[in-house]
Amino acid sequence: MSKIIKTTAAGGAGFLAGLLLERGLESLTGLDFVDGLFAVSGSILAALSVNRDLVQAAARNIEQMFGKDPLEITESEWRQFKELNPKTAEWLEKALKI
Amino acid sequence: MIPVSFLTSMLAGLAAKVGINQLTKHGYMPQSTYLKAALKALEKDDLDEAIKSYHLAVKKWPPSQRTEIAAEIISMAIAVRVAKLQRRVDELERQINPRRFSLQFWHNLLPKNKQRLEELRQEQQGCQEAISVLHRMKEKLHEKD
Repeated sequence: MSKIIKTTAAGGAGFLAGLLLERGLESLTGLDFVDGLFAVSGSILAALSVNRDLVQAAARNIEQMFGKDPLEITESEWRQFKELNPKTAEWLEKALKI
Repeated sequence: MIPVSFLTSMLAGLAAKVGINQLTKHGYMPQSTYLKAALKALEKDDLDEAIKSYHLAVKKWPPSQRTEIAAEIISMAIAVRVAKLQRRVDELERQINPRRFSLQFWHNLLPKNKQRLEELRQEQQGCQEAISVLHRMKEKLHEKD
């Protein structure tokens, strides 16, 4: 029983020390360690989700341009969009298999 | 007393963080990292950050289909904002300088509307300034470093 208490206390103290050190270093250097640790995995995730982000950004532009949901735009509105954004439109057609 | 192994791992984490920060700052991270940041900034309506991230995406890496599309999307977002502001400028113009002898014309002549007219003029000027800022941003987007 005392062993469990000792281990828990040591673990808690270690956690607090780590937290204080991290906060201290963060305030001294202005760097966020947790962000740093996840930066590499973040870049891999970014590569996987950037296509989805492109589609969403293009959809937002269509919505702002025509004031309606991209699914509701007419053929002529799509042609207008395509004229102004040929590369995006072509890519969207491929990505969404229109 | 802080264990040496703990300090070593903290130092390694610090070195990794500083290294990654420098790589990110100078455009060495994968292109998709910057594209994602640009699109995220665009979502938050931060055009300056979107353009900055786009430039970093093509700083060390050759332009790709995705960077071209991102540039088009940012450019389009700027154009949409310009169009909205231009519509407001035109609307204000019709109120400030209405057709001669129209109802608005006589309405504007009333002394009580002078203050309101001045406010509309200031708003129109603000919109025009915002349009020129957006045009400069668009030029900046297509500028090559």
